[in-house]
Amino acid sequence: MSSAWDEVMAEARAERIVVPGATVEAVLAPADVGALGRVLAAANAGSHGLLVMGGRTRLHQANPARPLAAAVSLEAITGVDEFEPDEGVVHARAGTPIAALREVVAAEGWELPLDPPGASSTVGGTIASAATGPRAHAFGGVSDAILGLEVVGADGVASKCGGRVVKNVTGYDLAKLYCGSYGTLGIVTGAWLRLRPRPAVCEAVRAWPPSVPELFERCRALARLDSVRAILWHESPGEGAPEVVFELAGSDAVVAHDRERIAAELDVDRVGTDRVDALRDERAIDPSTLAPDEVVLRARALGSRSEALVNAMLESGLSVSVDLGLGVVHARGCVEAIAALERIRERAISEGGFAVVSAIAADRVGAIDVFGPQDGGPALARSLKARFDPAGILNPGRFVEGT
Amino acid sequence: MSVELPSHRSPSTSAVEASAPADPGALRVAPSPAFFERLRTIVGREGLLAREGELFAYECDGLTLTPKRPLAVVLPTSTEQVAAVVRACREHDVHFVPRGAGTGLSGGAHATEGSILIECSRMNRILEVDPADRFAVVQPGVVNAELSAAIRQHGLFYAPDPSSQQACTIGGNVAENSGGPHTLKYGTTTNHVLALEVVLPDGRVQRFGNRLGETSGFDWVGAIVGSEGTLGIVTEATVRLTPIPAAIETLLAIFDDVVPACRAVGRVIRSGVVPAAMEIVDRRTIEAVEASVYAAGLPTTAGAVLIVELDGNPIGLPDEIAAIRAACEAEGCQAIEVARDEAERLRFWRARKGAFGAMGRLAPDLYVHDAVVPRVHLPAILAKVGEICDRHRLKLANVFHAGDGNLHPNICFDRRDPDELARVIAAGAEILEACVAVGGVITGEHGVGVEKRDYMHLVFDADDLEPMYRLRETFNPDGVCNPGKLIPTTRFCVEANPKARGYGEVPIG
Repeated sequence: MSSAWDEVMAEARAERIVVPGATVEAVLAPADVGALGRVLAAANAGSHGLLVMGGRTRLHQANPARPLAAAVSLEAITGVDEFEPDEGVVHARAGTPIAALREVVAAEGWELPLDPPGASSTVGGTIASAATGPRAHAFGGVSDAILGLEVVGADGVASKCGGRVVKNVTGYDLAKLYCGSYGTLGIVTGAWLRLRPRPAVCEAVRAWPPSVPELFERCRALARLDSVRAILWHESPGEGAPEVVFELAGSDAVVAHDRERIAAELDVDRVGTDRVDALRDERAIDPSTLAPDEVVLRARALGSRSEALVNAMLESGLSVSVDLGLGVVHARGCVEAIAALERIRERAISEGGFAVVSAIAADRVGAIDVFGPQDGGPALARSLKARFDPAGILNPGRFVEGT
Repeated sequence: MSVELPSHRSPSTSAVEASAPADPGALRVAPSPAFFERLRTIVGREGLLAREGELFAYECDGLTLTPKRPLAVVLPTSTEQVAAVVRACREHDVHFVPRGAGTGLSGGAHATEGSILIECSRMNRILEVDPADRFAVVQPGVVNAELSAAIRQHGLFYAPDPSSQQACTIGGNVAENSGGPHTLKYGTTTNHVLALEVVLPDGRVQRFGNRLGETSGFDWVGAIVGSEGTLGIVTEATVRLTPIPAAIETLLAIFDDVVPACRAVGRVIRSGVVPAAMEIVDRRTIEAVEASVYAAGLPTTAGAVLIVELDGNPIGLPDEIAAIRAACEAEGCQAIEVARDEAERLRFWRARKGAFGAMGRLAPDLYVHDAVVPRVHLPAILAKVGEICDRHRLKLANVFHAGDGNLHPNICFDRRDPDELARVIAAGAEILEACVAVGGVITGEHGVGVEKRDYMHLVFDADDLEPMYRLRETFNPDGVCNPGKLIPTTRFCVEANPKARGYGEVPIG
């Protein structure tokens, strides 16, 4: 063990963190980007595996880790350091909680177009996991909001990509690769984000749809209304009537128009927009609550084929929470055989999408690949990983194809 | 691992000079006749251009200052042909450069030393249109405007609309991550590409992405869009289609000068209205347009024209028009007009879309620059760009995507005057430096190509470039595919040599 690593570990605090395939007993919380660089350089020199974490919301959404020496938390690299209300852009450090950033920009009439499940989600964790919520219907994906990133590589060297402007083709679009790669190529330490003007009106209505086919049929047209920015529907087999919630945002006139259009199709009543937040946050999982044969999935299918995927899941006895305009299905329930889980994934793929295993009980970790088959196969993913993190210290084993 | 960049990459090195020296990895031995015979076998006699006269038109793309003749041009008609051509190139140690319609402005499709061009213009079929799930599968040679025309019957359009959209192809758009006036609301090409089929630099065919635009792993599609053909050759693209808005309103505001027009743009952004487009045309451009076949009937007293387009649900538009009107009036606009019908709307746009054509009247040559600044800096940077061009005694015309902060200073010149050409290059470098100094970047939509490769260090240092090399080497480890574009050809850092770090043997994909 190198002395640089010993020095780094002398700063660690004792804390136990359990993730798929590994338990970590020490947490490093570097105070700034320079300190993070020293941690990574030392870990890299000694090939010490590190668990990378932000708000810890999606730590369980991973393949079994190879040996981990410590966890690196971005909790101390936090804060909004530049906000330009005249420009509609903001720079936040990775550890900044999404909720806090949302408030800062809202005070000046802007809206953060990030909507990850889980109250403790951070900017860095949301980017690393590309976590979206029901409002992705209007917001788009996480990388759509990213203008530029600062990253510390596995070798401890800090770099940046993109910029702070809203249009930019200067160099490769590396932010696309870092976003959603779970910290396996480098650790995001800060981001320039593009904001959206805060809508004049934001409200929610809810309905109890008569049947699944009718719901899908009616929502096909309703999903295209200008002000609709989330349609969230959930159903648990044998648990009363399923509920569908629409969130509308925009000008007074357009929201009123769209509300009437929805009311013409479904019997609606008004609810607070916090109902959308609550249903979204129910999708954040505490893995300790999982029954032994329980699994949580996030799957997606092509819009026109999402009904078939939802039906397949309901028939398997899973409860679902669905973003209707997006074809995103969060499913949870007991699946006795891994083969049955594989069949659900195959169904999602055949309907044009994918299925990620968000959580699975500890004794079944490793029985199924969490992310599923990848374009380019193991060779391409590993080739990229080997160039960015040759010693394999960043979340080793946790992402696709063993990267 | 931070290293000082050698002085020969300093900004004084012009784009013209920079591409002149042979690339280190360039071919040293001319390919054998057997190579050309092999190409002919793959693409047929009509698919191979190798005679002197045939190659003349392929010496450059939209960047005309640095012509370089390719060894040959192949015009494949299928993915299999592209893959076979790539494999032939590898066997004969010949580099290859993908090309769409050749409308790019940064030299991304220039034939680097000892390379052939693989032009995808004959792969021009729309393979599938799905109006329900709103995507289309197209070959790379489909012309941008023709795709929108073909899907209009479904109430859909393809949103990225570069000024060259009547000629440029989807394959080229993907390579360059092309923008256009309507990116303000709709985003650039990267926001509209869902999946790709790519012939990798080793000749294998690989598909990336799906029809959703989201996968469960690395965002390979996101990395390939905008990679300027350095990671492979796109042979099929699945793109997102956008519903034609229910209503469109176009406003034209006339200002005394370009600076208050820029300030009005700032006011609109702060107001919370997101127009589909906000474009500014300056006095010199207006004069050129009004003297040309594109004449839009603009008053000659106009110092700048701001075109604002709004779209969406018609009941929401009157409030947005009022907000735009208020922003323009607060900056003292002379007049503001709202197009009363489609004919008038097209007339407004003629001043914008005809600008490049009309500028042919101003001088024999036009250097179309491309840089971006935070929009709050637009008024100051326009003044600065004017000052730089005055100092270099150059005629400047501005027509630009103001809503995105994306400048297009167009410098008029005559390339037969070497002194003037040198001043054009010097002024261009100063403009880029001025934009970077206020937090901007050196290209917003035209790409780096060969034009700006040696200005990359204005924005990125060696540590920033290192991950870009790593990405390129993952796909294109020996640099045979579009060499010498986008990032400086070799690292200036011994430790950064992949073999020195022990993973030179990592197989590509």
